[in-house]
Amino acid sequence: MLLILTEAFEESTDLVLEWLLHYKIPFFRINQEDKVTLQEMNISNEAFSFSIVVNDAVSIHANEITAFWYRRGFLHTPYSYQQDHFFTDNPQLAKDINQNLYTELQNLKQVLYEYLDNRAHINSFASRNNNKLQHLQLAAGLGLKVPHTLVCTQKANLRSFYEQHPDGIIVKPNSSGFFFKTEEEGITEDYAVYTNCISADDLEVFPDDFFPTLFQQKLSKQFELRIFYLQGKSYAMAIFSQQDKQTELDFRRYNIARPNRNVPFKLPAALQQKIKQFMKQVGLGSGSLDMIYTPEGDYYFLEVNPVGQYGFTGAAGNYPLDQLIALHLKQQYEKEKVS
Amino acid sequence: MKKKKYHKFPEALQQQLPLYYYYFEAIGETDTSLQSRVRFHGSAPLQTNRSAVRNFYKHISRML
Repeated sequence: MLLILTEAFEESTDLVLEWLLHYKIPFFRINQEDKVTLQEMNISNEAFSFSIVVNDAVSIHANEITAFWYRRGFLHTPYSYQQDHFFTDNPQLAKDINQNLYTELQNLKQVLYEYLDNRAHINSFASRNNNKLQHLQLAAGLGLKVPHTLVCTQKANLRSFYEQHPDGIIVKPNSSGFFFKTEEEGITEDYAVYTNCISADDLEVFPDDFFPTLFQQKLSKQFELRIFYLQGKSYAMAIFSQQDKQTELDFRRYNIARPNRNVPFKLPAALQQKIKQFMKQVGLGSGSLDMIYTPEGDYYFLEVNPVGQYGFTGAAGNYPLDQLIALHLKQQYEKEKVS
Repeated sequence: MKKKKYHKFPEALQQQLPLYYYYFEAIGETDTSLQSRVRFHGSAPLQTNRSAVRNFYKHISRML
């Protein structure tokens, strides 16, 4: 059986599963919203096995899992480790017990994830994070051009970086985006942070010391590239985001009334090869890469999101990405079944 | 283009945050595709401020 770990509201997973049904590949989908409990883990000199129960209903034994697709999310193991009300007179003990139970549970989950990573698989829980700092460093090491990047904690350093880059500097998270909702007087509001340009006025407002923050040289662009990578192949689209004030810094500030023009794009063979090397080094079988093509004709690597959405790349490029993922999973499953 | 509305964190807290926290902008009211993107990212729906706070600290701890 092919095991899939994902989220309940994940359209790409739904579409891949339709193809798996078509190809008659047996699979089981675990969403991060599902409750997963460990029934047993058995370790001896002869064998290793475990069984888990999903939503108190379906039992899965380790040897049933032949292949694994890590799409998104995590195994939700809702054991309670909130002991505080038992130890009101000793809050430190409650804290220590909670920490101990948490560690015990993390160890169990680590072994489950490692077992899944040792099956034929696409991506893994361990490589799910979009660590821009790590990825930029690896990309630069492989000869991909990267924008000059600074992480600092003091305004003096930031000011010096700002002065080094007359075309401007940007600020963004070093991990994936973060969203939150507020509720005030019955009015809810969603907030997100995108890439922003730092102005001289902003510099005046910032405190002298701050939490480690990532800044980057602002690059001029002819267009942006969104590249979906799958097992050695790149499927790219060019996004003409720079012609619209709303999207020029970050295409995710979608202009609904007048969307950016997105077209399929063929990457140079040498760049495809470098992307392949890069993805191998970061241990990703698939992912969504963002790059910039400058007016000077240079390709700059920005980041890779291991769990990024690829539906719009498939649609704009006319790439059958859901089917390609399903075919790859089918191949993995059949290879493991035979061996 | 619609004028952006930024979220203001308490000033004392702002100094303990990455500087991109100055730029959290309101989304969603007129932008349905972004709302669905939020849903697909699994970070939402954040129904209460409590969950927003929990996610906030999770996010901070991931960065260090």
